[in-house]
This record gives sequence, C-alpha cells and structure tokens, in this order.
Amino acid sequence: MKHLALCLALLGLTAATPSDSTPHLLQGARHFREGRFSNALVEFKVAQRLGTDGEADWYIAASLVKLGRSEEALEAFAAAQKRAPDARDALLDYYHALACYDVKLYLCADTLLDAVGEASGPRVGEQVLAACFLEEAVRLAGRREDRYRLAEARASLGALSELPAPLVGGGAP
Amino acid sequence: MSPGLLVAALLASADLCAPVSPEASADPASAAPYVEVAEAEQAAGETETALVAWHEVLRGDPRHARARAAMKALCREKSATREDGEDAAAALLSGLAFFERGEEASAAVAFRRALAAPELADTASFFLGLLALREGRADEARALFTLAAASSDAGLARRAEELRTRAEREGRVMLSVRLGSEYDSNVDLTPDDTRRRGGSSDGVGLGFAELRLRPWGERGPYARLSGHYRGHLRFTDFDLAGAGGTLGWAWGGPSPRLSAEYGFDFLALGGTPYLRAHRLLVAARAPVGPVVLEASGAVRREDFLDTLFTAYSGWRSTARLDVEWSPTEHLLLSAGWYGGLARVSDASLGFLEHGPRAELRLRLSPGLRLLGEAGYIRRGYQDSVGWRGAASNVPELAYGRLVGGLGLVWTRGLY
Repeated sequence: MKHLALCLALLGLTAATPSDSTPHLLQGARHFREGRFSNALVEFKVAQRLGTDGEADWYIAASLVKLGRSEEALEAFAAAQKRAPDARDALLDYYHALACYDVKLYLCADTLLDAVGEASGPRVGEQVLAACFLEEAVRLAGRREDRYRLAEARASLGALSELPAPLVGGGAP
Repeated sequence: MSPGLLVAALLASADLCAPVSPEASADPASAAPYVEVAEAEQAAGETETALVAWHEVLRGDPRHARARAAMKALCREKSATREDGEDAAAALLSGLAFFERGEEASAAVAFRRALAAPELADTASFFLGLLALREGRADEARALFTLAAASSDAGLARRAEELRTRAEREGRVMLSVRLGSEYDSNVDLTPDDTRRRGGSSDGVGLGFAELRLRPWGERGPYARLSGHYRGHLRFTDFDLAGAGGTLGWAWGGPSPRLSAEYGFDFLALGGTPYLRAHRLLVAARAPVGPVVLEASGAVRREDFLDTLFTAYSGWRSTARLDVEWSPTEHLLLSAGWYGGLARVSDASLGFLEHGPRAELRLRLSPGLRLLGEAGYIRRGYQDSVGWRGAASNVPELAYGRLVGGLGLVWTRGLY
C-alpha cells in the first residue's frame, strides 16, 4: 500500500521508541510504502532486536501478512497485543483480519472487521488514511467467496474525494 | 495491469544477487542485528528476506565471510526458482497467443503452466475460466473466476466478477424460467372499425420454462425442451399453451458459429389442440470488423389440428439478417431485415412479408438488462391470380394492436 508509511506516521509510529531503532522503523515504513515488503520486514525485525517497546511487532505482523506468511503473522499479532496493546489500530486490525482469513479463521476475521467497522468513523477521518483502510477492506472481501462487505467497501472507496495513487507491490499476499 | 505489462514487471523484478555496494563508512557493529535476522529467516526457509538481510550485512561489513557464503548459496537457489518464474511468464504469453488464434487446447496447457507463478495466477485463472465457460464447465469456470476476482488489478477483478455471475447461469444443463404479464389492446385482432362492445383489450399472464442441455459446451450437440402458457383474464378462448423440443449441433464458439437444428412444436388454443409444427433452422454468426453478422434461414411445416383452420396448413419459410454492434461494454445495438413466405393449402391465404427491425440491449447490472425492440413488416396476400398488392394490407383485415409487458427471468446452470 503506497500510503502505509504515511499511515504509520499518522498512527504515531515513532512516538516513544528508543533512538537506535527509530531509523530502522522509518526505513521499514519507507520500504513498506514502496511495496518492498521483504525489506520492510527485515528493517522492522532489526528495530525489534534493538528495542521498540513492542511497537515493531505490529509492523512485523503487517509485513508478514503482505508476504503471505499468515500463520507467522498471527503469532506476531498475538505477541504485539501482549507487548504493546496501545499501539493497536484499525488499519492493523484489517491486516490481522486478513491473516485470520488466510488461515480460515473466519470468526476471528469477522469479529475484527465488525469491531473495526464500529470504531472506524472518527479514527479514519483523514482521506488518505481512510483510503488505506478501505483498500484493505476491498482486498480482504475480494478473497472471500461471499464477498463480505465488498460492495460497501468499494462504494466508500469510490466516494472518497482523494483516492490513493495506484498500488505498488499490492499483489501480495 | 495488462497481462503483457504484468509479465514484463515480473521479469524486471529487482535482483538481490547483484554485486553489493558497500556503505561509505563500513560499520561491522551495525551489521550485527541484520546477521541475527538473516540467520533466522534462512533457517525458516525464507530465501527472499534472508537475502535482503544478508545483503544489508554485506553493505555494513563487506568482508563478512558467513554473509558472502550464504549469499552465494541462496543466489544459486534463487536462480533456479527464477528460471521457473520466467518459464511461467513465457507460458502466459504463449497462452495468450494460442487464445487469440483460437487454439484453445494449447492455450489451456500454457495457462495451467502459468498458474505456477503466484504473480500470474490471477490472469491465468481468468483465461482458464473463459475456456471453461466456453466448454460448458460452469462449476470450474466459477471457481477460476472467483480466484481471478481476488486480483489486485481492479479491472481484471471487475471483469472476473461479472463473468463469475454469468458462469452461475451457464453449464451443461441449464434451467430458465420467465414469468410476466402484459396488456394487450386487441386480443382477437378485431378490425378497427368493427370493435366489439367493451373492446377486446385484456390482461395477460405469461409463463415460460426451458431446460437446455449442452453436453460439450458451446460447441457440439445441444437440446432444448420448453413449455409456455399465455392466459387471459377475460378472453380465455385465446389462452395459448405450448410445448416444444429442439435437437441441434453447433460448430465454433460464440463467434464465428454455425448451427443447425430440428424442432417440434405443439400448441393448444383455448384448451383444444391447435397446431403441430416441424421446423429446420440453419444459423451462422461471424465477426466482420467492428460488427458481428448473423444470418439464419428456417422452414417450418405447420398443420392446424382444428378443422376450422386447416386451410392455413402448409409451409412457412423465414430468413433473417442482422448486424450487431457494441459501442460500449454494456450496450449492444442490432439492426436487420426479416422476411417470411407462407405457402398454405388455400393459396389465397399465402403471403409474403418482410421488413426492418432494430434492437437495443443495455446491461444495467450483472443481473439486470433493459431490452427494446422495434420493427415494421409489410405483408402481401396471394390469390390464384398473383399478388393482390405488396404495398398495403387487405383493408378488411386491418387492425391496430399495442402490447406492453414486464417480466422476470431466472436462469441457473444446474451442472
């Protein structure tokens, strides 16, 4: 997703992280934005080893989702939830839902989606952030046979006045 | 993204095995966390991320022996995988070429090889779905379009979604049901100046069901069984019920296509047997530039079963020529000419009729279509001397009629 670096910044990525890990988190976000998810994962893992109070775990999990490593992503989400519950966000919940969907944990995916749907309004007021959010919704729904909320997500995406630039590296997972 | 661009993008992906450019100021200490990540990823069998991490190690510490050895081993492994990916990309391109040329069996083999590359799986699934749809394998087509509809390429996903909906209506066995109602301003075709008191307008209920069999898909043998009923609210003597069957053979795909069929029809009017007919039809359809030409000719032997109408029994021949044009994906316009010749027992009742027609089909959504049709027919009656007149109808038989209706159609592929 092209705007994820911006999204990550908006979500307060560097708010309280040790200085050694900050350049790696930012570099990881840059790679993620440009669709280089393997590079992003490596940078986030390096940041994790240097210490980020658990924040990097969320981004490691998101990168694993984009690389199609959903089972590992679920473990990373569980670890992130324990270590840095406050860093959780609606967009990350969508990645979490994608991972749940991939390993056929449909209840988990639906529960996350429902919670995100209820809480998303004020938190995704920014156009770009909303676009990130809805793109993930479209991608997730497109993978389901019942096309859960696909029309709703596409309609919302179409209604945005500022649409994101074409996806880079959006093919995976 | 078009399939060609997709293939080009795949072939042009960044090469992590190219020589490493070290950082301006080498710092072995900064490489240490990358070593941990690289080893963990390599142990987990994640070649790509391991290569990225080892690459970063060498940028910070160009002399790092373990990194150099690991890079060498991983790049050898990656090279073999990359060759497989290039094979898949080439397979997709050759599949597209076969598809364009109509060599469907070869195209299917190539597209299946392209499925091996995850980046190409959506495009390959889409084209395999098209081939399955043509061959009447609707279940398989549905599954393939479902895969393609999850593509990150919005255009491909949208088209796959539409075709998935279509695949649900098709198959080797299809059932179609249509229910509707009409208003008919002149049920018994009364001449305008001899209208019966109270008029002859009436409400009409319509029902139609058809079962279609296509064991080999769009080409090969096919059969249809159908039944229909048209019931009036007031003039029940005009209630019409019918049943029919058709056996035919088709060559080619949707276009060009040639088909020939035999059919039998039976009609009952007002609850009593009315007509029995045998028909033969030949139809052809072919693309010519931006349009599609469609022509058909049919001959039908009609035997009226009520003694009152036996003079009308005889042969009826019809011919049609139409041109179809789709200016947009959702709109289809067609125009053409229709001609019919009836040679019946009583020669004076035979006639020749012909005239232009035009049709519009607008798809409002995958399950909803708007249809419009207009036509004009001139009919000349024959007697023992010759044509009574080609420019006008028999005045005593002149009448006006307006019919309008609404209907719902449900079609489902059963197998």
